[in-house]
Amino acid sequence: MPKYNTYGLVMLIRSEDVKELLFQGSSDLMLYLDTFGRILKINKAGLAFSGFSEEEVIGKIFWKIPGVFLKRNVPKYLKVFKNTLTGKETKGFLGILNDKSGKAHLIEFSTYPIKENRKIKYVLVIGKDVSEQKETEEKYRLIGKYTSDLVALVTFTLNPTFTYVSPSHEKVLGYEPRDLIGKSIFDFIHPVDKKNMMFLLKKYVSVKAKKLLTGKNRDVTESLEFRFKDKSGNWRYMETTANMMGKEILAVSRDVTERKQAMKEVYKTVEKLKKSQRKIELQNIQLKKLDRIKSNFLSVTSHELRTPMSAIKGYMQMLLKQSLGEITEEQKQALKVILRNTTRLDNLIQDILDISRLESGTMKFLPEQTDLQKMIREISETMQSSADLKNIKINVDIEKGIPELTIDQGRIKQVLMNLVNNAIKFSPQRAVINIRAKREEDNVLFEVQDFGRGIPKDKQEKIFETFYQVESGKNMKFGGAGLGLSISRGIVLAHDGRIWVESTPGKGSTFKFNLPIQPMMDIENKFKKIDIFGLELKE
Amino acid sequence: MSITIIEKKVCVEYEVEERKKMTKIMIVDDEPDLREMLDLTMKKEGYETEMAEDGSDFLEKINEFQPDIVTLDVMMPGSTTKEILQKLRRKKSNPKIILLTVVRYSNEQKEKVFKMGNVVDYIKKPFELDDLMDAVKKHVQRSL
Repeated sequence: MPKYNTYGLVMLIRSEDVKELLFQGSSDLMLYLDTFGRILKINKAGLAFSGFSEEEVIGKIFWKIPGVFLKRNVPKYLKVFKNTLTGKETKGFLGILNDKSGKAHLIEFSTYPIKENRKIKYVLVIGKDVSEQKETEEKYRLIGKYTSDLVALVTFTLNPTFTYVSPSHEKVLGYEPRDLIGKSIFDFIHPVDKKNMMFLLKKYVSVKAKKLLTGKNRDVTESLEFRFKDKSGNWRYMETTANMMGKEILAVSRDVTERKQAMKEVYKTVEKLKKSQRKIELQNIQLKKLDRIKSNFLSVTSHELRTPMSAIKGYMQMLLKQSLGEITEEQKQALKVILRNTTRLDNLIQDILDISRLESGTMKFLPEQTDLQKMIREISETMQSSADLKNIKINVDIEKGIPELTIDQGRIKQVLMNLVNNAIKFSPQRAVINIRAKREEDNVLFEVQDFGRGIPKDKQEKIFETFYQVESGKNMKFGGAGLGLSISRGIVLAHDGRIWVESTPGKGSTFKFNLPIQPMMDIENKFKKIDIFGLELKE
Repeated sequence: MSITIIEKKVCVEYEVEERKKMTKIMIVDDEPDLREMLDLTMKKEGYETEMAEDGSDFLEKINEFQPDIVTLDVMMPGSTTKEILQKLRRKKSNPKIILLTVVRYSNEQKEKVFKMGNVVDYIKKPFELDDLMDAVKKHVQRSL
């Protein structure tokens, strides 16, 4: 059925036939009332819409048809009716009208006074059912009113203008709705973002065209991000969902400026981190190079420093054995002193190399299953000869059933021999030294006890530091570079153990260290991670 | 100690001494002082000796000298010990090798080393001369 714009048109047409045709053909509800409000005539659309038959309504006062209007609203309609009778037209007056089945419709009424012989004889009432439209509008209005999101309607053109703006705009952007309504969105959008927006709009328009052509209801929703100028002139980042709705676009936006800025900060920080990571990687490569140089240096030095020792000691031993000819007793004594000091020098070189290796983390560890009973017996036998010089007796007490340990036997032997050597050094003549080993929970505890002068409480930690001596300068009675305990500590730590001393001055000292029973895995890697000499703390 | 045991021991000592005269030892070391010191010591002990200053020198001289025992320094310029031992396989000579090494070996590494060619022992540098001489003597005795 063709749809005519019936507003006012009816009055202009003189031909009664055409008037009738328009009256009956309109899709809007139309009726004529006399000056008392009685229904004189009603069109087909009106009957179809209301559900009544012509007989049921003709001659009845419009607002008194039972059930059609709510009683409390009737005075409002009466007022409009009376107003019309004075000669004024009313347009877009909203009223609720119930059809015969009781269903309520929101009707936009228009009333026109119709004169005959200069006197108002009839009132033409035209009603348009806007229930659905109003419902939707109302929903949007409510949503717009209460949401913190920015809801706006803009015209669906290539230069969209605001037709509706939710009050939330004021709080977020500083604009009251009237600041925006009627204005182009491009007055507020960043020029750079305008380009993207235009591209999208063109796409929308084409979709709109397609929709009109094919009648397919394609729901078009776009998410976009753009900068919008707020009232104080700052750009705010908006994240918008745009919906094409008929002639308008519904845009629901959110201010994401803070999030954007936070993201920017995050990107900046990430960039910074990446940079410093690259820096660290480079430094790491350089450190690795240095590390390689250092360990190369150590192995070369180790070889170069110690090789001459072999030749020196070898010839001295040959001379002492008199295999190169007989020597006098005095010569023999002199050679013995040379040999003893050469050995001392050799040991010192060995110690310094060990310290360097421990400090640089390049010491090699060779863990192997070790029979502790056998190892400790060997040590006591080896050390007994130097103990004999002071008539010292070495006692060994190893707990029965002591477990085997996976350790670098050579290195742990070195620790024990160092402790026993110290014990001999600091013991008086004819003293006793006790070596003990026993299981203690998940560890094996080793002890070397002497009955020497002991170590004052405040020095019991310091003695494990590199080059530390309890006595120094003039008071120094005992030789040694002060490296032994430091090396021992490094070796024990590398084995995941702990070393300490319990001592009472004047009564003697007991050096203790423990080693875990659990086999050492990847000892060298672990060792590299241990900060044995507190190097990291010093920095 | 009963007389028979003493007699036996003396007999062995005697045989070792005799054997020494027939035992040829080759000293391979790039350090001339150490090499000469070892050479002198071995000679004084009664062995027949020859010196080589590196791997290729050793491989050159071996066919002519035909040593029974070789003391081989592990760290020398030129070829690695492994390479030297591999090339040795192609030679007619089949001496026992005693490695002289600055590096410590783990049990695992020791096993590997002993699987390489004719390695029978290894001595950690710096060594006590007596230890090296004992090791040499041990292998002379073994070949009795």
